[in-house]
Amino acid sequence: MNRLVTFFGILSFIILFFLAYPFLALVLSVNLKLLDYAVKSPVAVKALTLTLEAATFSTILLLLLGVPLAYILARYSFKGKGLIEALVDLPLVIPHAVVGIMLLIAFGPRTGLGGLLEDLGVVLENSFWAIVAVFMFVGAPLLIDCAKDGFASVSSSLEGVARCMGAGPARVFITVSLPLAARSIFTGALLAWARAMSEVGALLIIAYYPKTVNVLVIEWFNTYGLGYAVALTAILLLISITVFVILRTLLRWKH
Amino acid sequence: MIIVENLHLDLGEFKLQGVSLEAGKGEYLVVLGPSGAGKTLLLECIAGLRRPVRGRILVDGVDVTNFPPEKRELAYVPQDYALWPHMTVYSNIAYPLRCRRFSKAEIKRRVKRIAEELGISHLLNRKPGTLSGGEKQRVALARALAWNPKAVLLDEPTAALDPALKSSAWKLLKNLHSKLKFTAIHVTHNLAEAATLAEKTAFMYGGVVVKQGKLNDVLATHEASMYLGDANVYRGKVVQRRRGEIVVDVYGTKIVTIADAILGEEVVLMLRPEDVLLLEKPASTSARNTLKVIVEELESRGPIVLVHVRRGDLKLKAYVTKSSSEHLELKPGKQLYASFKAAAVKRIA
Repeated sequence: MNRLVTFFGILSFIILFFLAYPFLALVLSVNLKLLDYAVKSPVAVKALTLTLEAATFSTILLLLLGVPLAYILARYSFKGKGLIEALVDLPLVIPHAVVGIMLLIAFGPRTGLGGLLEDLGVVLENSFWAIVAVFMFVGAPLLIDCAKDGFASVSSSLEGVARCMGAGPARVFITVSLPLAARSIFTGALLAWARAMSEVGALLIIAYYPKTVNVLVIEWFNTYGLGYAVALTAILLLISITVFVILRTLLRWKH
Repeated sequence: MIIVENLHLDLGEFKLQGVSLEAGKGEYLVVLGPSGAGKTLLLECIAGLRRPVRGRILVDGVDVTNFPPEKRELAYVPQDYALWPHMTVYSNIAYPLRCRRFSKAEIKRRVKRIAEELGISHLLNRKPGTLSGGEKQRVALARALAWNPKAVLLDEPTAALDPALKSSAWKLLKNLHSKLKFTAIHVTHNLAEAATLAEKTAFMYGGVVVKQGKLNDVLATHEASMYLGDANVYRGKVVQRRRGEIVVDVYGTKIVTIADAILGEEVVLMLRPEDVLLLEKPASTSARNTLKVIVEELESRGPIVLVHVRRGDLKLKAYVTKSSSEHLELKPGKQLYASFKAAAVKRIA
């Protein structure tokens, strides 16, 4: 092995240790009694269920609204496309608290648009819908970009031939484009879901209530101390990793 | 029947500048031309995948220029075959039939029949990713033919195949066409491919069809000579075999060549113009071929002259030096004898 590879190996070990050790530290510092308390706490269970529900629901909504946009961006050239692509990626660089503020002043119940939404029964402040809105906002770039790359990787001749064989645009999309981009779309959805599960900053601004699990972690940390926060975090971590592994395995099995 | 009239489209590097051509019902038209001539663009316009800025496309008398691809009833086979990788071979072939809402039983029957025709019945449960180049080509053809489209558009269908597989692919296409009588527009840059398959040839150069008709007439054009050289290319039937030689009938003229072929087989021959000797009288040379011909046209090529001669429908190009041309007093209408060795005639397909 040459010196360069040895050197790179050492650097790689440092970054891997940096990434892996916090997981180990968390597991090692869990107090089983507090873990038992957290598992049995109705507040914690409710917060966890709410987070899972909102993350899943926002991912489904993102799939419905983001996949068509991704297809258009991958397949067509038009004026202003660069601007739209930049807009899609913008949430990646905006601080989380700023996202909360922005959503509040755009869609909060005291705004014009928020008032209209309120009339439809969708209140975007301290509500399930506010949580979904935050999750969608932060997850959108991940899902749309992945789906766009997936569609772009499907050769246009595969779609063209399907048209010539008698399929209309909708049939071509459903039978050719979508299945061939499915892996990328699925990966994007997985990333958007994981991103939603990890969000807290924007929620503290726009949806402190009903409490999602990350907000509860902060509250327990501030109120009861690190031990309780660690117990709750361990449960959250276990669920996130389990879902992530199951989906990744399913994806690999499919291909 | 496909009629293309004055098609215009400009995509920068590739353009069509008033392309017109015609493929009769059941006719096999080969569009021959160099890369960048606009052949693929032409096929994409006919298929409906690109819209021309000017011109018309008529399919069986109906103007389909503004029809979407799915309303044209034209099967398109691109160079990469575009088999859908997530579907089995069966589903690929069945796709156009499903689009037309055939019953399950009818789809099964048609897929089975065309798969047998192309010898791919054993591949029906496989995915395209596991197939060889030749197998992929057969599947693409099966998918294109299973639903009896009004025409099949083939874009360099043998370009992705190994050289060894090309001639068997030509044979396959020829047999399929003689059996199923489909209308075909086949684009290629391969002269031997065109010579083997074409019932009619169109030569495309710089975004226009320079000439269409019989292969030899097409090859006689200045543009074809620029691209292909001045080679004489003939398609004919083997009428006699003897001691390592074959006699090929080309437009009623017998040409002797050193090659092996089965009696009755169609072969494509090539003869270079520098191998043709023009004589005033039939001399007793060792050349096995001597034809009585008439001069049609003379083209100056610097120190040499390209002489176009003909004997009935058979056209022949020969080089002579300027001084020989003067000595022979060559001019259109003059009768001569063209002589060439059997070994100079090469079988190219």
